This record gives sequence, C-alpha cells and structure tokens, in this order.
Amino acid sequence: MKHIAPERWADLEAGKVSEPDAVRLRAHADGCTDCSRARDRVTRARSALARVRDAGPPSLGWDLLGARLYWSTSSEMRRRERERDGRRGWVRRAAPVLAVGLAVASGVAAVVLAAGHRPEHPVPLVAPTVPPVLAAAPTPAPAPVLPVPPLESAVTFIQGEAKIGAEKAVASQSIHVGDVIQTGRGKIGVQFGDRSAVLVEPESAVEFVAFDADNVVLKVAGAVTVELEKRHEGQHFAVLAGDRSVEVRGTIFRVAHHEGDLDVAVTRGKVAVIDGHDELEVPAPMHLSLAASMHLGTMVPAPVLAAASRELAEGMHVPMVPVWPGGDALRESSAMLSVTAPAKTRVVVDGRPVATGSFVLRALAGRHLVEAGAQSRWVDVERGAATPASFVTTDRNVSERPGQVDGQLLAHGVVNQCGDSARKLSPGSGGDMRVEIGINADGSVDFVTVVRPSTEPEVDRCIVDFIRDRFTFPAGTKATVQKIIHY
Amino acid sequence: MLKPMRRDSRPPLDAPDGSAQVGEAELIRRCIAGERAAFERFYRDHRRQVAGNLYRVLGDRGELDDLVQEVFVIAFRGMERFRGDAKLSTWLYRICVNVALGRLRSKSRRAPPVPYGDLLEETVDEAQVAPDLKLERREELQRVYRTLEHLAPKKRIVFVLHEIQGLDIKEIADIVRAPLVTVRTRLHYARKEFYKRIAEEEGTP
Repeated sequence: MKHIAPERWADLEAGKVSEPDAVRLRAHADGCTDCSRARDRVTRARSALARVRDAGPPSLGWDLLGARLYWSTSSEMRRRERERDGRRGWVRRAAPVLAVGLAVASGVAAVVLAAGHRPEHPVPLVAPTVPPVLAAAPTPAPAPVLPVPPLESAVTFIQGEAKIGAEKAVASQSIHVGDVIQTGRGKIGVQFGDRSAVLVEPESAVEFVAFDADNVVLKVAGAVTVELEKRHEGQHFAVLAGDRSVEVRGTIFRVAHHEGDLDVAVTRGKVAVIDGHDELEVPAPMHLSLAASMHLGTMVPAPVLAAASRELAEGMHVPMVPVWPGGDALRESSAMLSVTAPAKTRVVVDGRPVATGSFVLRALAGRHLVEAGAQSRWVDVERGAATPASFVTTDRNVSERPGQVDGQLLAHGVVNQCGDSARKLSPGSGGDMRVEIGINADGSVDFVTVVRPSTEPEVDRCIVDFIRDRFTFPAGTKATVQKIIHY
Repeated sequence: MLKPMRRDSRPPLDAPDGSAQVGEAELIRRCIAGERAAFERFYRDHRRQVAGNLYRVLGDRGELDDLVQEVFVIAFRGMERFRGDAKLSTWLYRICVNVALGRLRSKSRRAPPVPYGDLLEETVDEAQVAPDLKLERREELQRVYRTLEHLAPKKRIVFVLHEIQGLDIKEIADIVRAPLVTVRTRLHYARKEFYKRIAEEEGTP
C-alpha cells in the first residue's frame, strides 16, 4: 500500500484538498498506522506554527535599542542635517541677491516703457542670468604656494627592540615622511609637538604616510597610542588601519589593528572611525571593537567602566616631555635617562608611572626622582649629554641582575644584529630562545647556556657568543638569570 | 551673540494625543532630510513589526536586538532609494528577510542553533495554560524550529512567510524579489521536506 505524502496532511488541515480526496485520505489514515501517526505529528506541528503566528512580537529593550540606533546613525544624521542646513543657508544668502536683481530688472523695464521707445529687440522683463562682465582688471598673480613645513620630532622613549627604518632606534633620531617604525618585544615613543606624541606598542609597525603641519597620517599594523593635546589649527590627523581609518577629533586614544581586526579605545576627547562610507564617532571613555568581517554600520561603541578607564588611561600613557621647544632644541635641552629594573617592576619618574622593567626615557635637564619597586633615587640629567643618566635598581629583595640583563640587551641591540644576519639569509625568519646567564659577583659573565633553542641554530650561537663576549655588569650579587629572547 | 531661533514651519510629527500626525511619505521625507525626531518616530512605529518578522523567521531571540538594529540602520541608509512603489511595510519586510537570510547563512556556518525555549512565553494566553501542556507545546515548537534548521535559508524564508505568516505566493514573490514560479517551486520543496522530517522524526509519539 502506498503511503500518503506528509505535506498532504498539512493540505488537508488547511482545507486545500477537495472533499472526495479528503474522504480518501481520512480513510487511508484509519487503516494505516504509519500514516495516522504522520498525520498526528503534522497536525501538532501546524498548531505550533499557528501559535507562533498568533504570538505577539517579543519584548525587547526598546529604549536601549533606540539608543544604539542613535549611535549607529548619528554621524550620518548629522551629515544630512548639515547638508539640509547648508541648502537652507544658500537660499537665505541668495534671496537678497535675487531680490535686488528683480528690482533692477523691473526698473529698467519701467524706464524703457516710460520713454515710449520701442526697441528693435524686446527687452526681457527679467534680468539676464549671465552677470555683467566686470571692467577688465589686471588678473592678480596667483599667490605663491608655500610648502607645508614638516613636523619636527624627537624620540622620547625606547623599551626593548625598536627600529626606525632599517636601523636600531636611538634617542638622537627624528622622524620624516615615509619612515617606518617597527617594534619587536619593545615600545618606542615619538613626540612631535606640544603634548602630542605617539607610542608604538610591541610587535607593531607604523608608517608615517604624511607628517607635516597640515596632515599627520599614520598607517598602522599592530597597536599605537596617540596623545594629541594641542593640534595645529586645521591639522588633519588620521590613523589608517587596513581599509578603515580613525580620524582624530580630540586627544588620547589607542588604535590596535591586527589582520583587519580593529580596536579603538578613547580615554579623552573623541575619534571618528571610518569604514568606506560609514562613519562612527567614538567618544571617551568608550571603545569599539570591529572584526575584519564586520560592518561599521551595525556597531556601537561600548562604554569603558570607571575602574577599567583608569587602568586604560595608565596603560595608554605616552611618555613625553612637558614643554616642546622643537625637535632640535629639545635634543639640546634634554638627555636620555636609562632605567634598569627587573621586568615586572613598575617604574615611576617624577611621580608619573612610565613603564615596567628597563627603558630609556627623554627627560629635561635637571634632577628627576625615579622610583622602581621599593627603591627610589634622584637622578641628575645633564643638558644635551651624549651618555644617558643611569638608574639601576639594587633592591636586596629583588635581584638587580634580570634588569641589568635587559639593559645590556637593549644597549647592545644583540637581538637585532643576530636576527638581521639570519634574515639576510632567509628573509622572514624569526623566533625565540631561552637562555640562562650566570653572572659572577664581580659582574663578569660566568656562563651562557641555551635552555630552549630556537629553530635557527646560527642565531642562537650568535646571541650566546655575543652575551658571553660583550656583556659586562657592575659588581653586585652572584646570580643566574633566565631570559626569553625574541628575534 | 545668541543666534535667533529659527521657527520650524513643518507640522509636528505627533498630534497632541500622541497619534501620528504626518503620513508615511512625509515621515520618510523628513527622515531622509536628517530629522532625528522623524527617524525616532519611524523606529517607534515599526520596531514591533520588525522584531516580530525576524523572530518568526529565526525563532531565536539570542541576537534579535542586533538584527533589529541592523534592519533599521539599513532602512535609514536606504530611505533615499525608497520610491514608494511598494508599501513601507513591504519594503521593511524585504529588509527583514534579507537580514534574516544573512543571519541564517552565517548561522549555518557557525555553532548549532540555540534552544527555542522562550518562544511560547510571548503568547497571550500562555499564562492560563496548564504546565504540562505548556511544556508539551514548548517541545513541539522546539521540534518545529529544529526541523526548520534543516531547510536551506531561501526555502526556509519562503516556508515561514507562507506557513507562519500566511502570505500568498504573490506577496512572497514581491518580498523576496523572485519570480512566482521560483517561489512556488521553493515552497513546494520546502513543505515536502519539512513535513517529511516532522512525520518521520524519531522519538516523537
């Protein structure tokens, strides 16, 4: 016996089957257990579908949703408002001109008619739309286009591995258009104006696409924190992150861009994130995470809670000097301050947290209070000194040796040198190794052992030889330090 | 100096009793012009319809907020292209369908669907229903939406519009912008597949 197709039971329920067919179907179900069960199931499913139809729409957080919608459309709404107001403004401005034109035209017509003169060509009653040609006046010579001055800059902070162009970053360098800053396991800060600086975070690359008084455009792969307290009048500042851009409307923000995923956090002022034709403003204290596959149109910035905001603000501190006399003048009036501290020790300079571990910081000439862990000391910085003023922790509870190893790695640029020589042979190579360094009480290197090799034995050997032959430490405690070295 | 206030000659959107005072066309025109109050009015008038449409197609309120927002953002951006040759509700329906289609397509590439446990809580008479019957109804509904998960997104849309929303073939063709014959074919196969699965599902009495 042939069974009935299940959708026929739905048709029967819906009254879409002719009466003879309905009788036949019912008779079949009475004699067929399978079809009878199928009919019952279909009937129940149809009842469920009917209940969905009758159910009211779900209740959502309408106000919250409305607020999200407000955010999503705010930029575009403002643009439309501006356009609308612009059009109205044009009409308002044009109205007096049109009125005068009409008055002049009617005056001319009245004079012609009063003179009884019938002109050969009828005089138009409306003034011609083409404006009268002004008496020939000497065309003014075009104003000379002055070149926009490039921005001056100075490196204010270096921690770990960082390069400007192909060279290891040093404090005396300045930035020019086209320069690329690259960081490994380090950070670098560059100041380019009064309370204006950029901090390039670890494993990041920043290209200075434009860098002058009118335009500052940074192209970012990785993360940067930007502080812009005072911008030049009319200066455009944008961070390009893949296909998207972040335009600055205010002051302190961080942009992270990793393989198309964008994360923007703002602690002061506001920025506009632009994705194609879409634009969304992110005010402080808010952040916006935008995955590569997502569209800006459906996103809203999320608020940063107060506690997290403080943490974020501290993490986004961009080291810079408080006055900006210009790049060269700053280099002359300041010098670098080298701080050597264990990796996780928080270092505060002049009451302001700067970073953890070892780093080099630009400081104005004078005396500065450096606090690292439980230790603090005044350090004198000499005006324009070639050698950095130094602060080295000697905390009894915390060995000074790990910090000193960091300082030596930073000073010698061993990782860059060994890594670069390997990359010449096989471009794109990189990795990390763990070494153990024994340091004697007199500061000499006792031994260097590879605890975990990298995939490049040549690089491992280069780094070990370099440490053994070149590293020297001040007299202190005898210690063994393990370090992971990334190249 | 303070700028003098500009008198707005446009009629107010709402009458004193709160009812709509301007027609659809005027509302759309003002939304296009960037009048925030008009867009808020548009959102208020249509939010329940949009949420209901999406909800019935997807049977899932997990991301409903996001999807409703997406529909309104798309509507806001597309208003300039709304020519008024279709009803506003049909146009909005069309956006809902496209958003739901996108969601269904991405869902099929992602995690398994969430349970539809909360669907019945929205029915009007649900409070009066006995607990065991309520549970039974909920299970039946879960079974229905679980079965719908097996339909291809385009078939599912057509099926929901026909079997739940009660729209006829012509209306569906207008919404999904497909020829009548295509819609009819999709519906035929969707119904066949759906009811076959319902009839054959293991573990149901």
